[in-house]
Order: sequence, then C-alpha cells, then structure tokens
Amino acid sequence: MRFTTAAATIAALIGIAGIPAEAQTQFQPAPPVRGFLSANGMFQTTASTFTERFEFQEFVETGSIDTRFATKPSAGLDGSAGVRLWRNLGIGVGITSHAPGSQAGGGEVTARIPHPFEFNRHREITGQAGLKRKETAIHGSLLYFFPVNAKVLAIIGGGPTFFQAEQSFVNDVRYDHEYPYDTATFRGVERDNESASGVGLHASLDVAWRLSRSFGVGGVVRYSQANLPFTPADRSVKVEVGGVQAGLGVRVLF
Amino acid sequence: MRLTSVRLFVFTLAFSSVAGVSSAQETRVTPRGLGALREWDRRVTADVRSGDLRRRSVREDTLIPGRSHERFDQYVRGVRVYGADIARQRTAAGQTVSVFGTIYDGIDVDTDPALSQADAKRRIEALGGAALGEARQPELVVLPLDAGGFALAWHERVLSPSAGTLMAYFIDADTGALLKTRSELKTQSAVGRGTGVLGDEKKMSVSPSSGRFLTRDELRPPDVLTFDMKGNINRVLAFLNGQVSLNTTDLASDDDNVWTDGAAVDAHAYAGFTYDYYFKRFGRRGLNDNNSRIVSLVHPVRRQDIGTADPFLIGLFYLNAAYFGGGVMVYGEGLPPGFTSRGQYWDYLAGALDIVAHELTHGVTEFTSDLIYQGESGALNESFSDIMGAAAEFFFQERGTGNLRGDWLIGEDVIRPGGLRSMSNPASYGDPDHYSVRFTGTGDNGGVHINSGIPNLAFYLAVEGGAHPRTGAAVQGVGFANREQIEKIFYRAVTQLMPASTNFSQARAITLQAARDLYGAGSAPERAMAQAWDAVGVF
Repeated sequence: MRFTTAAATIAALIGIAGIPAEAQTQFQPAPPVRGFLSANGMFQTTASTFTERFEFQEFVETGSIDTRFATKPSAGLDGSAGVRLWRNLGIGVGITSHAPGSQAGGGEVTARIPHPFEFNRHREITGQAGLKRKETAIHGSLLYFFPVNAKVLAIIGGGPTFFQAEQSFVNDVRYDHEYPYDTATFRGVERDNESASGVGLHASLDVAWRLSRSFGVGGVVRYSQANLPFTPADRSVKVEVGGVQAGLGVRVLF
Repeated sequence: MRLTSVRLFVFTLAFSSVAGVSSAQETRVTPRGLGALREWDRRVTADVRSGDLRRRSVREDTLIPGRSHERFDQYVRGVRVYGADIARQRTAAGQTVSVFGTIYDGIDVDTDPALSQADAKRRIEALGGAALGEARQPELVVLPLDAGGFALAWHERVLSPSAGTLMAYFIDADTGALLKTRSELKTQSAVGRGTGVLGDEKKMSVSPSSGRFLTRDELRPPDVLTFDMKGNINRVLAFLNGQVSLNTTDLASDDDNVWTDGAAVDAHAYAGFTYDYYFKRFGRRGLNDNNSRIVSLVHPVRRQDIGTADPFLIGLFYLNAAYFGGGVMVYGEGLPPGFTSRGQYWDYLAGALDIVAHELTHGVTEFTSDLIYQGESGALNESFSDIMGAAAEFFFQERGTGNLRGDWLIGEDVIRPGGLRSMSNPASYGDPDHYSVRFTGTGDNGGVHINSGIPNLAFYLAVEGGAHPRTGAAVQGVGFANREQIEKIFYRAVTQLMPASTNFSQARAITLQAARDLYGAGSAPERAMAQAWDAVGVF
C-alpha cells in the first residue's frame, strides 16, 4: 500500500463526515465510551482490474491467452469491535467479507491459437472468462475516539489488514476448429480457483449516532488495499484487492 | 515437366456413383445426377420439417458469392444421432446444388435413459481418471454401433492422465457399460516440426503410434501418407505394379517428432499444402473431389547407387518426379553432392512446392477431364500441372526470386540453377512460345512437356499482361493480384468443361467459355484470356 494514498483517503473521509469546524469549540462531553461493537451492510464502491497474459505451446508454436477481469461495486458484510485504552486512543479489529461482482461474463479472455499447418498464422478467439472473486479482510486498527457531541462519536482508525482472497483464473481455453483451421470458435475456458493471502493497510472513519445510552446507528468508510500473489498453474499473478468501502449499520456502545 | 510425370500405370479408383448406397442401417448420401439430388433435397426438407434433422449451422460460401452451406444433425425423438449429419449447398435463390452426408434409418431405441446425466458424468470421470468441470456435462446421443444396431449412450471427453490423451467415452445410458472409446487427441498433438530440403522449418501433420510418429496426416480430410522406401527399388517397383501393399512400417517415422529427413518433410508438408490450395481456392476436396488418399513415396533409390544404376532408373527415380495414378506420387532422389546433369544440380525432387503441386495436379486431371497424355491434349495436361504448381507456390510463398519464393519458373528450388521451364518465357528454355513454332515430332509423347510452353505462356500473359517475350504482341492481363481469376478459369476449364482429347484451339474456346461462366461476357478476365491466346497464336 502506498501510505500517501491512505493518508489522503483519511483526509477525504474526514471531509465526507462533514464535521463542523466549530465542533471542537462547542465540545460537549459525551458519556464516556469504553468501546463499541458494529455490524454493517457494506458496499465496495471502487473497482479493480487485473490482466494476465500467459503463453502455451500448441502445434509446435507459441500461443497466448490474455485475461482481463474487472470487479464492479458490490455489497458485502462488515463487523468490527474496538476498545478505548488510554485517553482517546484504543485498538480495534474488524472483518469484512464480500464477493465483488464483475463486468458481464466474469471477464474477457482472448487467445491466439497457432495454426496446425503454418507458422505465424494464429487464430484469435475471444469469449467470456466467467471469473469470480471472494475477499475476506481482517483489519487490526489503532483507533482514535473523537466525541463530536453528546450524540455523535467519530472513530478514526488505521493499521494493517490481513487479506484472504479466492480468485478464479483461466488456465486454458476450449475451442472448435475444423479443416482448413484458418479460424477457430471459442467454446469456453478451463478455470481453477486459487487462494492467496497477504497483509496490506487500511484507514477508516466510523461515525456513530447514539440513539440511547448503549445503542446507536452509524456509518463507516474504509479504504484498504493489498496486492496478493496468486500462483495459478505455477504462474505468478499479482491481484489488487480491497478498495473504498462504505457501510451503514448498528452500533453497540459501552 | 520434362522427364517428370511419367505415368507408367494408372490405377483407377473405383468409387460409388450411386445415390444412397446403404448398408443395413447406414445410408451414405452421395447423389449423382439431378434426379437423385432433387430426391435427397426433398427428403432433407421433409426431415427438417419433421424434426428428424435439425440445422446445426449455415455458412456463406467464401468461393462463390451467394452460395451457402447448411449442416444438419439427425435426431431421434430429440436425441442426436452421433455422426449422422447432412451438408447441403444452396444458391442464393434457394436452389440446392449438392447434398452429402450420412444418415441412419430404422432407429428403434428408447430415448429415455435409466442412468442420469450426473451418474453418467461420474462414471465417465471414473473411466477417464479425471474430474470434469461444471461446464462439461455428458451429451445423450444415439450411438450407431460398429457391430450394427444402435444404443442410447452418454458421451463426453476426458483428458485422461492414465491414457495420456484426450479420450472420448460412450457409455450405455441404461447400464453405464462402456460402449466405445477412442482418442481424440489427433487435433491436438499430432503436429511436429520438420526441416525441409532447403533447410526451412515446416509443421508436419503426423500421427503418433507406439511411441513414434508417422507421416500420416490426420488433420486433413483425406489420408495423406508419405512412405520412406529407404532406397528399396524392388519394393518400389513391386508396389507400383500392384504386387505388394505398403503398410504402416513403410511410413516415414521419427522418434521425437522433430523431423530431419528433408525429402520426407517436404513431400508430406507440400502434399498437404497442395490439398489446402485446391480446397481454399476452388473448394475442391482432393484429387477426386471426394478426399481420395494422397500417397507420396520418397527415397525410391539411394543416391550412392547412382553409379551402378540402370539408366531407366536414373531417368525415373533420380532425375524425376512422377504421378503414377491413383493418387500415388514418387519423388526422385536427385544427385549426390558434386554431381550435375546438364550443368544443374538436382536436389531431392520433393523439395519444391511447384513440383509437388504439379504432380498432384496430374491426379486432379486424371479424375476429371483425364486429358489424353499425347500431343496437344497431353501438352494441356502438362501445362495445367505447371499452372497449378506455380499458382500453389504463389499461394504459399512470397513472390520473388531465389529459394522458397513464388515465381514463374518450374522446379527452380531443387534443380539449380534455373529449374526446368519458364512459364513467362518458354523459349529461354528451348520450348515453343507460339503455336507457329510448336513441336510436331513424335518424341515426348508428341511434345507434352515441350508444347506445354504455349498454354503456359498464355496463362502467364493473361495474369501479368505485357508483351509476348518474342513477338511483342500486347496483352492486357488481369494483374498479379487478380491471378485467382485466371486460375479459376483454367481450373473450371480442365476439371469441368474439357473433353479428354482437347486440342489447343478447343482449349481457347473452353477457357473463354469458363471466363464467361465465371465473370460474364466481355469481362476483363475473358478479354485477358482471349488476348493471351491471340498472343501465342492459338485461335
């Protein structure tokens, strides 16, 4: 993760929260909060794309397969908990799970298939890749509790995120061709699901609106990101996971 | 080709000309004659209406505008009959031109399987030793059995680690018993890499067999076989005389599928190229247009034996390539390094695409007009082979000079320097370039390899235009980029319009008729053809 990106995101998140400038001067002590629990319906607002190209040997010549997979904004679930330890500082942990949607057909695959009789006369075929992804992220956060007023509590957080993701990859294409083999028709792909994990970073802003002493509603905006190393069929592919997520849900304050 | 195309024997292939030759249950649809065609056309239409035939695809004809080709699969109560299909060619007006295929009558099977698709999939996975993905579901088919009769079967392919190949499995849709299996890898792996006579790399369409690879092309529709005779002239002669048959052990072979015998590589690859040229240019399916086998023999003699070889053998199997009828070609061994003939070195004759295409074209002629190999008809026979040889060369090789380039010389890649003949200037090789100076002797079957220069030059001028190299007569050709037009005129003329005894004057009239058929009266190709014949003195 590029830290400048995270810092900029935090600044943006604060801006999004729309905290009045005079909030600091009009500060009214809120009931002390030792910690919180939250559950959110989450919406990942950003898309990510990965492309992969690998080569294969067929008809004593090198062919290639290019895959392009782009996620699109999608819903997921998020839960987190935090506890204040000293003054306004605390620690927390959160978990986010979602299966990003993708563009139609689950990505696009283009293959250049060698001709069986002649060199340098590849046939190009294109079709839908049917790829899927599932991401689970566990966020470990250093938190800053920022009571805006008696009703509103903002919690700013940041720290490492452990990502675990499943991503399907195209390992081969199926096609039909018939004599004289000058063209080929896309028939489908051979896919494998691969898993990978790794550590990235995140920054978040959680705003809780207290409805009662220990219950409220709130929203969270989080940016998290990592590049995970997948090894489909012994190939090496880096896939960017995470993104900007926004969620709404319930809060338990204690 | 001088000293080439010596046709010692003509094997006549017998093939069916009867509509709908049937075994007990199988009907091979090959209608000959308008009545039979109409009958089959009506049946196809009726079967489509009844649902017994379902259209799988329709494609536009790339050779003849307006034509289309439909393919139909046969179904029985909603279940496809495996391997039963019909191909129908139609004009833009909906008139049927041809119907070919295989269908089955009297199918009486219960099409309700006792074995579910999921169970069938598990059974096939167990047989193949590999799991199939979600997208791979067995297809229920009616399977014609080799022993006769039919069975309802589930069919799917598995890339089997144990078999080391892509296997197709057919299991009984009621009992799960294995009915039939075969490798379907032929379209995947039977391609090797070969080095030709001139050191160029080519792909070799071959077949794996017992850990080796054999020159049997399984990717093209016909059997394209290349036999390595290993210099066993007695076996060559015995085969050509019909005393022995060649078998798998005679095929050229290689352990690692990286082929280094240039003669075998080129004979095999160029035979395939020639088939491809005829198919792509004219839609023709091989020598007899019905995918008859193409057999090439290389190494009929040994180069080191030339010192003791009978002159008959030198002329036939060293300095020669020949079509022996029935789809059989023999490519001469050429000369040992350091030897020359008339100042030229002769390499393996299979090493030139124009020579291979020339010889195979004799097969096309044999199965069509069968131009009599004597006098003017024989010269037309030779000329058509030269024309198609040059045309195939231009089709696959970049135009230019030197080895492996398309040009108007015949055999120049392996008979060095200069080759055997020039189509653009026959007189430069001592061949007549005008009807007024034609050879009228009795040698060379009345000059079949000599007077071929006259129609050769007519073809060249009709394509390229320009002036007759000696008389200066001007011709407005169609241009090299449009050479396909003149190729099609000659192809149509020789394969469809010419009688066996065609002379030069008739050839003029017939090629002009072909030009009008294809491109219309007064068209540029017709004008080019007429001017070209004028230029060479044929009226």
